[in-house]
Amino acid sequence: MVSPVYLLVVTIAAVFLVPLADRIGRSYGMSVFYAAIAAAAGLGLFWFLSLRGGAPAQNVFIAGFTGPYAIQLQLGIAESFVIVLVNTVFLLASIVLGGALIKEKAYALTLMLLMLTGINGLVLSRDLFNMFVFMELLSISTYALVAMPRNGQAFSAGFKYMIAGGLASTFFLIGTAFVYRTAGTLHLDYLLRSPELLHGGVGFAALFLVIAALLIELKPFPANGWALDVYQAGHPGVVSIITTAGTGAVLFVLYKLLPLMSVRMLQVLGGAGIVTFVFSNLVAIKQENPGRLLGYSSISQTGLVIAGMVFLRLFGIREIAVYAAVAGGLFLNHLFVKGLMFWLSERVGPRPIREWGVLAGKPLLLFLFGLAVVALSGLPPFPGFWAKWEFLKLLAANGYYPVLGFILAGSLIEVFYLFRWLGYAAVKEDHDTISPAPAVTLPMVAAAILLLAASVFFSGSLSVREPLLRLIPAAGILFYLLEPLPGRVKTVLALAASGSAAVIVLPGLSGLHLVFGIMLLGGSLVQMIAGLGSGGRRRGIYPGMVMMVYSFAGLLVTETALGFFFAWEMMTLASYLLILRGSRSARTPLLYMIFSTGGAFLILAGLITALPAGSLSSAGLGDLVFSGGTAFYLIIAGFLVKAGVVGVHLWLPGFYSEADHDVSPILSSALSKAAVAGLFIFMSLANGTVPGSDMFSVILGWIGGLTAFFGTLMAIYQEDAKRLLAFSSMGQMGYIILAASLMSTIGWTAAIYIAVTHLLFKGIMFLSVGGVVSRLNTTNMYEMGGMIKRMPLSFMTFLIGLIALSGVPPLTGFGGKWLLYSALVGKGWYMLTALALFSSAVAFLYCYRIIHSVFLGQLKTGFRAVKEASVWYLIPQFIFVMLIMIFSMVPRLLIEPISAAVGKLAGPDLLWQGNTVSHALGYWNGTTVMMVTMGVFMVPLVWLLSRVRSIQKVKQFNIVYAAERPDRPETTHYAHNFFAHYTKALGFLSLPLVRRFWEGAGEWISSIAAALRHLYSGNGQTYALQVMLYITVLYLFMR
Amino acid sequence: MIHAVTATGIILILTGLWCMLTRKHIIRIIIGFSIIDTGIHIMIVSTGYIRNRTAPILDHAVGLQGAADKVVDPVPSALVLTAIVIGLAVTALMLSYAVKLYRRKRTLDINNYAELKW
Amino acid sequence: MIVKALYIVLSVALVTVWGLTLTGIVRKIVARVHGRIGPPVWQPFVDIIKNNAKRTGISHGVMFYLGPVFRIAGGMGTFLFIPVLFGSDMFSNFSFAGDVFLVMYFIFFGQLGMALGSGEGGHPYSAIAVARGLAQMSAFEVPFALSVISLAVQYDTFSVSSIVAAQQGSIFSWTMFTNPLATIAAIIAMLGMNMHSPFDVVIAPQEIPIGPPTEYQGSFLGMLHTNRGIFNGAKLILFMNLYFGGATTIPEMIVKTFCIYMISVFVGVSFPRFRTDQSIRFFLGIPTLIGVAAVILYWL
Repeated sequence: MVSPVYLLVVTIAAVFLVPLADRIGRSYGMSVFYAAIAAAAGLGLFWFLSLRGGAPAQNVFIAGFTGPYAIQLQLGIAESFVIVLVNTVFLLASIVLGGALIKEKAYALTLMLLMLTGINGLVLSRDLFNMFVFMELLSISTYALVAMPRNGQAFSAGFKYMIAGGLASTFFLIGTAFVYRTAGTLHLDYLLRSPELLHGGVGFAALFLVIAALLIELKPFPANGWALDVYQAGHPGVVSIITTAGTGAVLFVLYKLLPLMSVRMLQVLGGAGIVTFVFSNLVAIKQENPGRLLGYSSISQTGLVIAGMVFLRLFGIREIAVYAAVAGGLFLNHLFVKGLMFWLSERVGPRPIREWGVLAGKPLLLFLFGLAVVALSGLPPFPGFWAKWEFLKLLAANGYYPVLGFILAGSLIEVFYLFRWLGYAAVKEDHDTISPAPAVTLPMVAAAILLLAASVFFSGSLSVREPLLRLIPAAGILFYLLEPLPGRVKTVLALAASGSAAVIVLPGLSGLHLVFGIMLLGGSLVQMIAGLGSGGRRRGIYPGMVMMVYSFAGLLVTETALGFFFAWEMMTLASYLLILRGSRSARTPLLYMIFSTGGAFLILAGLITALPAGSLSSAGLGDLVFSGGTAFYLIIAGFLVKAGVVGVHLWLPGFYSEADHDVSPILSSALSKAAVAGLFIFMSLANGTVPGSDMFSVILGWIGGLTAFFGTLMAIYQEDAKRLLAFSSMGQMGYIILAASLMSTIGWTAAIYIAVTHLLFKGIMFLSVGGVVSRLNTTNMYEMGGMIKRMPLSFMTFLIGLIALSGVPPLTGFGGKWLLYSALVGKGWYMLTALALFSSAVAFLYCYRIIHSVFLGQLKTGFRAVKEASVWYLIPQFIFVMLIMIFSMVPRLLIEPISAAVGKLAGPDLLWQGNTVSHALGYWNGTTVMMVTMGVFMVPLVWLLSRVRSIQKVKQFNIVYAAERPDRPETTHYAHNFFAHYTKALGFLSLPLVRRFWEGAGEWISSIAAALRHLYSGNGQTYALQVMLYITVLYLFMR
Repeated sequence: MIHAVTATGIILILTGLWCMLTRKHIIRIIIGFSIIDTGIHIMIVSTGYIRNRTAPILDHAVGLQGAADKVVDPVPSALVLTAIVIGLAVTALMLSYAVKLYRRKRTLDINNYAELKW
Repeated sequence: MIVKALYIVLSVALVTVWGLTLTGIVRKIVARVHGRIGPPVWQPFVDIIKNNAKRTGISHGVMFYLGPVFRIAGGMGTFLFIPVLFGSDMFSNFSFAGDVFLVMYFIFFGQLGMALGSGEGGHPYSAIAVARGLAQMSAFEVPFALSVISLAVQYDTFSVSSIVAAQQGSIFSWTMFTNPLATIAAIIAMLGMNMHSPFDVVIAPQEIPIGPPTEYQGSFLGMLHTNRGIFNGAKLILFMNLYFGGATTIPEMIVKTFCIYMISVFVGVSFPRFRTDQSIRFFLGIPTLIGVAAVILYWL
């Protein structure tokens, strides 16, 4: 194996060679420069592979002396891991910097090479004084490179950086001197062998100063204003190196010193990491400048990595593999993502984040940016996700719940500002052009590919053994690559991909899983047919759509807790992509992402709390322990957020209504059932083991009941057809949760029955309205009217859906109501029964409102020539209509399999006698009801047909209104503000209190952020003072 | 007991810190930094000091035989040499920054360089 | 099978005739209260025959055409799921197909169809009236639902026949006496259902002439009139079954339903009309509280 010395030799040799080669020609100098860095990266890779292959670690003493007289290096697996990463990203950053470097004199190149030498030396050296020297090498070259843009901002930022950096070096040096004084050695391995040498007062102070100096170099909150100025003012290429490779090297030094630290020191250091993570994210939400925003984000990520390794040490973990999985994963994620984002900011130029809409027309750049945002937010399949899971799991296992909470809170804030930014880029299209620059794009693509490769690596080292789960992201990427194809071709391919998933997955399922499998997969498949109805490219739909369907499958087949959460997060991501594309404003996708992530974090917290003690990553769902209660309630709360219960429904109306017209039906009818599936899966798992479940039932029941009521009530006030249906879905989700909360056989049968029928009728209604809207290009109901004349088939299916929704016999809706009331009265929840009955009566109001305003009344002048909706919209509707008709004729076909899947729970069973289903209180024979209804319908119809032979069809305005014949449909179509009197009577119930609450909370958080960021006064001296105070406070805590 | 030289070093460090944190003039801040540096160097040298011994330079006065018993600990001295070089580099770089800043704004008051903030 | 069909025909014929006669009687009574002579008792029958005899019909479209069919199907269906006479096989209708919740929901069938048909008529008065009617309906559903829940708790069944069975014996086993609060709540709800004053803003004759059926004429209107008889009868029989001990003979049924209907009529001639929002607030106020009290009393 090559000696590690060569790593330093290569770059230092290049330092001398580059100016010489530069004399011959600019390109020669550049060639030597890149060759040296590439060689360093190559060496790193070679070492990493051979050490992984089992080669022994190396210790090298240059010139035969030990440190500190000479340089002493160690190269083990950990070192090689960091070396390969930082050198690779350094290489990519140098490529990005190429354009800027070529304009500089040769010394800029030598500075870069010195910087890399410092970085590599820090990673390899085992001697404190060596480290000091390498750190100074890194710092001085960085100070000089920061000034590269040669403007006032860069100079003042560089000077502030020098003041703070100088202080840090000072402390490091003093600390080193005192370490030598007390221990008589600076050699890390000697110190590690006898750590008691540093246990005295002076020894402690010495070690403290060294650690404090390293911490300052890592820019802890709030003593980091100088670093932010550098991030904002420096060249993005240089800054990307500082925050990735430079920070990485210092982090690794801290890692090497960890074994020297006392428990107290570790605790305080971990706390400092967490504080940095949370508060840097908080302050970032007010930031508009991309460089500075990325700076805040970098600092917060560094804090998280510090916390990661410190807490592992605190928990007494010694295996390098665990550090690699947690701190390594977090760092790797940060490294590539932050590199990618800084380079992208170089590409976009000096624009505030609100103006990043320039990316909207650039699919590749937008993809890279989206990938970076997703990875940085800790979403799967990226390394950050696996690392966070492992880290949080260890925190929970050791009882560090508050830390866990802070990390989740910080991550949520992070998700907020990152996805807000992504929204600006994706939704607010800005037609400014940005010039092509392959030298910047290529490294970004490389970073993205490396990140994805690392994702595969990390997912492999962890427990996801189920192959289907890996297909979720793979399918997304495949369909991203297929984007240039025509939309219809992609629809067919997506149908084939989803269909094969269904065919493979469904036969392996049983019980409730099978029921939900049929609903989620079958429901999505049928509705995807509508995609054939739209022409064009339809960019951005199918990657999300296919990932979503695969996530459904993954949710149902997975047997591990991690697998479940993975699939759940992939589903969130996929649906986010769908709404991001369809939405008109950036607000809807952002709200969805925030609430979904909040819900997912609750689920995550619950899952890791419920993991059995000492479990491997592959702990099965069945092994989860719910006897503590808390874990179970957290998980359920997470699903409730995703279901959009009242109070956390803010995201819901926009999400269900603003996607493309063929996508909304799937989101509202199928995706909404994923939350229900989760609810049932975990309620079945925990059934009977959770303490206090009676109280839980009651609370859940009222949440469901109130959701049903308020969802319905808000639906009646909507002017937008799709929003009305969205609120209606919220109400229906309320019924499902209410029924599920009963924890009885009939209750669960009712819940799943309603879920199935809701899937069918809401699919029909959304598709039908989608078909109408796609022809009229408006969703305002009062602008429509009379569509029954133009789109009779859409009207017919909509009517069937509407009757099913309203619960009027003889269609399937009544079965749901009947089962629900039976279960409720059987349980003795009378007030909830009344509330549910009231809600279902109010539901008639919005039902009539939408069918009247859209299909009945007066046809508008501009729409006289519209055609029936596309046949591809109608086909799925008719499939669902047929199913509704069959289930209405023979309800037994639906109810019996459901109650079989539900199995035996509390309360009486349903009894069958022919087609009559009964329980202790009541009975219902759906088939007879259908027959009777058909009979009583046919008799008068035949009479009418026979009686009235001479029916005269009249024209539209053949009515007398206000004593004259109207001639304008607008004045005659009673549709706007349809239920004004209801507002007058009960308007106070639907005031936007929930919205005000959340907006207030958001306002509050952002005010705190605004106040906090005034810490960063911009004055270099203040920053120095902050550094001093920080060290003092740190000392007081650690003492 | 703190050696008098160590004490001098610490006093210099504190003086330099006070100077860095209170003076508004950039050159004075750099001078403050320089004073800190000097203080550290003195302190490091003092950590290796052993009473009644001579400098660790192997000349005819010390001789090769038993040199280890005649000279002070040579390690800190070696360190200080490196540290002085580094300190010099940093100070030089700081001064060149000061020149650049002055050329832009014709002022060396650090309060005037706070345009990047929050 | 054929016997059952005959029974059904007989049963429907009975309720139609009695329902229409009752309407006629009420019109006469109201006229007398107003100091008018009023139409003869058989006027409703005359109207129906006249309307059906019209040679032409005007239609605004398919849904408009089907509206009255839905309406009368709803009326007949509601009636057919209620047992008319206790212990009579002949008049048990299809009550074996479902319990009281089926009846409550089937009531909506006709109303929905009617609303859809009149909606296609394109007359704004129809839509306005439907909006009012639905709003009012959702409000009076609350006391009625609470009252029905109270009965379900009291009798431990949803089955209408079983509720009637439980009230047999003496007059004091009627729900009216065993559960007066539930009865009061239901009666108030019934005032809304029957759309007499003060809850007649839906059909508001001076303002939006007769409301939903504004555009209907000829055979369509005849069908709607017929339904008014059947549907009224059905509702009254339901109330009789639930609160007033049901009936074992036709005369008993006639007397009881007449008396129940009179409540609506008395209130109707005595009180002025509520606005829609006023009636919503009214139903959700005292009557709802009475309903809640009825449930709580039997819960404890």
